[in-house]
Amino acid sequence: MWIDAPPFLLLFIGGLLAGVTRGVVRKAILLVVPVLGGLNLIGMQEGVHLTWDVAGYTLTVFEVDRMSLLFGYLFHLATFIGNMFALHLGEEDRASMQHSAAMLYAGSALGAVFAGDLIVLFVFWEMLALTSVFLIWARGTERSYRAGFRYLIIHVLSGVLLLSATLMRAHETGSIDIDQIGLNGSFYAWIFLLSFGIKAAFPLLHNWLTDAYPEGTATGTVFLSAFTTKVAVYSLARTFAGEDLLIYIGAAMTAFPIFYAVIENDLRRVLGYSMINQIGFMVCGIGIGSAMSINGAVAHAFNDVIFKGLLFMSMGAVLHQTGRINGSDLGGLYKSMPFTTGACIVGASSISAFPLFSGFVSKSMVMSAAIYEGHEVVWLVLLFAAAGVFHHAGIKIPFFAFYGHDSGIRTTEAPKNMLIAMGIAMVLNVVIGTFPQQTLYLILPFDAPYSPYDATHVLTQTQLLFFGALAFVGLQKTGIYPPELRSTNIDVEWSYRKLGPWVVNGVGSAALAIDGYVRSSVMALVHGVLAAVNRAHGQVGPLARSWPAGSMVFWVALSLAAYLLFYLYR
Amino acid sequence: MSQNLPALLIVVPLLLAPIAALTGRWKAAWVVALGAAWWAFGCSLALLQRVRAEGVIHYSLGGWPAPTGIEYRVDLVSAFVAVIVTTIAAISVPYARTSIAQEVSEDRGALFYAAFILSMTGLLGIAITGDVFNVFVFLEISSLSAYSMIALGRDRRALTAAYQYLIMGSVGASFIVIGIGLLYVTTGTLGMEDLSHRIPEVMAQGRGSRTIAVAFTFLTVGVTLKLALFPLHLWLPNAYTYAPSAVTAFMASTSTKVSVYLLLRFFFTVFGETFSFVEMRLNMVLMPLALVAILAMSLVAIYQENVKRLLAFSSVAQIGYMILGISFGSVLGVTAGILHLFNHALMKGALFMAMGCIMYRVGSVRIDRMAGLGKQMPWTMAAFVGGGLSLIGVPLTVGFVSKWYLVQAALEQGRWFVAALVMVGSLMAVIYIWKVVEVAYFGRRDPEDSVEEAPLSLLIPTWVLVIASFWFGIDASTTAEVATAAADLLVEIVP
Amino acid sequence: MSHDAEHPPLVRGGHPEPPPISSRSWWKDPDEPPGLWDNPKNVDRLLYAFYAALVILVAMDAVIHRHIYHPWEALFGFHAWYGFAACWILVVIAKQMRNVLMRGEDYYDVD
Repeated sequence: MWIDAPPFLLLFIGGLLAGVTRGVVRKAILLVVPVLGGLNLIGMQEGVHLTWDVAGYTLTVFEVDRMSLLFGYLFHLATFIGNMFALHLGEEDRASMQHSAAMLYAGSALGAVFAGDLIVLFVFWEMLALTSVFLIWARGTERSYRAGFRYLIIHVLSGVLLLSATLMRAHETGSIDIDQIGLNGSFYAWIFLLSFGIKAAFPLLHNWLTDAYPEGTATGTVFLSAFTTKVAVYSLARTFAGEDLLIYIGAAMTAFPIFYAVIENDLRRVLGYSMINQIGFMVCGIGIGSAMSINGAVAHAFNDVIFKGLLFMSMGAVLHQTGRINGSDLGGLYKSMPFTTGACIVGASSISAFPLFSGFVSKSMVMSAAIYEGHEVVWLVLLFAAAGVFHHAGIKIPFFAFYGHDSGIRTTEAPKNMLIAMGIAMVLNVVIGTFPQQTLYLILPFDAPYSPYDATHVLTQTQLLFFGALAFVGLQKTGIYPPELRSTNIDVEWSYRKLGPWVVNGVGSAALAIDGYVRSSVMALVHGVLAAVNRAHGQVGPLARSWPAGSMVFWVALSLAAYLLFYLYR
Repeated sequence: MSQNLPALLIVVPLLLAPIAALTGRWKAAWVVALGAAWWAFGCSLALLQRVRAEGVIHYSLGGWPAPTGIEYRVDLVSAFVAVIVTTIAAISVPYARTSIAQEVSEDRGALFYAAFILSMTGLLGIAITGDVFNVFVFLEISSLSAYSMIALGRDRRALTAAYQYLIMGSVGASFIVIGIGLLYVTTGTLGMEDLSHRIPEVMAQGRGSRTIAVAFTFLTVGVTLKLALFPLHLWLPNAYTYAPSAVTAFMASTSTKVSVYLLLRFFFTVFGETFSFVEMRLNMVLMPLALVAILAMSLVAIYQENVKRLLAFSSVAQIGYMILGISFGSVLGVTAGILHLFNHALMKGALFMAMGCIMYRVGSVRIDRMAGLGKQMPWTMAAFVGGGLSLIGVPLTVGFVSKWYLVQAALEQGRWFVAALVMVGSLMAVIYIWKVVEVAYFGRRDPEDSVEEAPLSLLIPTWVLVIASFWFGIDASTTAEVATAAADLLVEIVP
Repeated sequence: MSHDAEHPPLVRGGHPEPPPISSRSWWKDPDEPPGLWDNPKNVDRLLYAFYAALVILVAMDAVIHRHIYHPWEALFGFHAWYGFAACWILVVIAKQMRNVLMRGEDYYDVD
């Protein structure tokens, strides 16, 4: 609270400095800046802190309340852990670009959650896309370049939709505030939902996530997993809380990706699908709209950043050490990387919501809220998804990377800074999971007391998970379990990566053919006329040179005639 | 002195032009041109200040009052356009020193600068005169000197381009003079203000209304040809592509802008908005053409391989935005159009100057020759990206301010579809700007073909425009205020 | 890349070789001593403990009075069998999905 500057500013400065400094100085910046930023938030007064008059409008650049503050702490924490994880990067990893992009990206996320109006939100919304894409491009492969570009297009589109919706709403209501919008029957509300839905990876709009995140760098994906979707969840909580449609969208999001996760080979893509599943719980909580469910949604967003970050870190460490990430190419790494194995198991336990791990204390809030508010079918779907997430993220990831069939690859533990970063996240997962009342629940936005640790919750959740594990054992023993295969599974992206190009190429070549035909016949006609004129006048040069100007004059004459007709016989 | 500002703005450069030609040496001529440009810049700023403070200025040349004599009539719109022209001129001349020395042969340097001064003077004259025949005279001065500036380019295709431009420009000017003649025949006057009173009278008496409609037609075609509104834009791409870089930067930012001004002047002041938009339904013609220009020309731009040509087509599309704003006929719409005059001048000037830098070092502005320039000419390419962001309409740039007003104006009249098309146009701009950025930043340059960053004498003017395009994007209060006040003057129909 | 007999390649398209392992790793020494889980006995021990835990968990259903929010929860061991069924069905369906969805790894890289 010692400086009243907007939080994004500090990280932007840090990001720019990280781009131009080297060595120890840069490392210090990477670690100190997020800490300073986080301390700065402590004791921050609620209310508007900074406005800016531009072109006759007053923009609210920096506004604080309990919800934005929670995300503010979270994003600083994620930046610190992510920077620690990436601290070893050398110039061959495009370190300046990655460090700089990561900090600017984190700053944009902070700018978005502390934005006081929709225009400012839009600016940071686009910056999120523009800065984060470098974390994908930094991988330096053709695949990552293309995937990054697809990612960028989709996110810029989401921003354009946000701006369009903002303009429409400003025009109809005169307000650019970030407050409850809801599906109020207006067209713009749907555009808002579409824009947020793209960033939150709603079903059918989700594919950018599983397309781009696995193509990021080993360290960059940790950042990617922390910010973009959480900003979307935050925006939805602000504008669409209690919107029934979100309950069903959320339920669908929890259920459908887990099928893909089971058969996916790239372990980071598995995590991408499981991320959509986790966001589903948050969206569902926002849709239910009670104080407890929204608390649950944002608490789950908080925890998800840490445990999903931990899982992405453990996979990043594997990728960094072995150069491989497909389930079919890995296995048996527990011998070489025991610490990373432990980190992965802690992350897996958290995401599966084992009692005493962080996922439990937030996911159960959403599920309890669903059943309290009478959404029984939704509750059954969420329960199914909760079992399913344990299956693919909780068991599949650690099993195929660290146990399972021994791939024969041997290596050493990841660099120290990676281990420290994972260690911090492990501790946080356990501490939040064990002492929620003393930690996470203190900063939740609404006053809705909740106690996750009663006998019913603990017992039922443990039963659910253990018997889910039993199913895995059974499927493995009977050989029904599908093996990891090197493959691609068709998803919505097929529509724009295969169908779209086919259609465009088809139409394009047809248009080209028609155009060519028309052009050649017109040219033949023109040449015929010219030849006739030439025969008459015998001057090849001047006529041949001047015909373009002649064709222009023809247009002028045509326009004149058209205008005359229009004006005289109007 | 300050009473005679309108005359000084024109007369001093007009006298300096022959002096520049007579010096015979390009360096001396350059100094004269610099003096003329900065003199005009100072005068036009002072004029804008005065108009904002005092309102419309009437100045009778030689003391002969209108309608007998020629009158200069400076209102906010004129002064604003004059500021646009002189700002760009004041930045272009320093830029031209290095660029023109390479692109125009030395013995023609003095002539070039003389033509430059004349062209600028002609444009300024159009902006501040209150007499329609005088408009024609200045139009010819600016156009003839523009043809010769283009023709001075070393590229042999420049000659053909200038020839085409000459033909089309002359056709346009002839149409305008025919229109003016017809007006004179029916009303017996050439003064703009006089005409604005006489035309309704004549129409009310019921005689000559058909003649006035024909005059209106000729003026429509003549003016839309001059401002390169689709489909009468055909002369523009070649002229911009093959002209020397400094000329392209200057012309792209000023001459079409002055033509748009002419459109405002003729159809809002002389004929009056009610006549033009309600009786003649000019907006029914302008709006569809503007939309086609935005979409079709952006699409064409995407497929260009020569970046100057790409930017030229983009200019035609951007003119579409201006005309679209004007075709709404509302204060907000005309404000958007006028704002975009200024904003587009800044961004296109910056972009064409960046192309000039590349031309200077690489010797070509084809996309395939720009591979890897992001590393080798970082400042030039950064300027291009800056200007490109503006063209796309990213917030904090002038492009955003224009689009914001334009979309607001469309929504005000409930034209969702038009607003959506404006957005689509922005997305297309993303594509064609990206095309260049992709090659420059992600392409690899052949090490044998490596180049140096452009000299500071080119970079500084370029960056002045880039910074201005951000400055007026972040703080648009002044420009928006002037544009709104100017639009208030012009628009009659208030819903 | 080989497929075991039970799972023939369902896929169209090619399978590029896996990427080379990084310079920070190496292939296993043939003389390497077996690890903890290479011994099937250890795996079995773990599984016995796991089964014992399952029995205890279901048995606790009889001891602990659970709150019932949904009618199905009144069933004995509801969460246990729901979790088991959910995972089993999930995997079986997902496996069938491969028949429709699976393509070669370079599916999007080739036209």
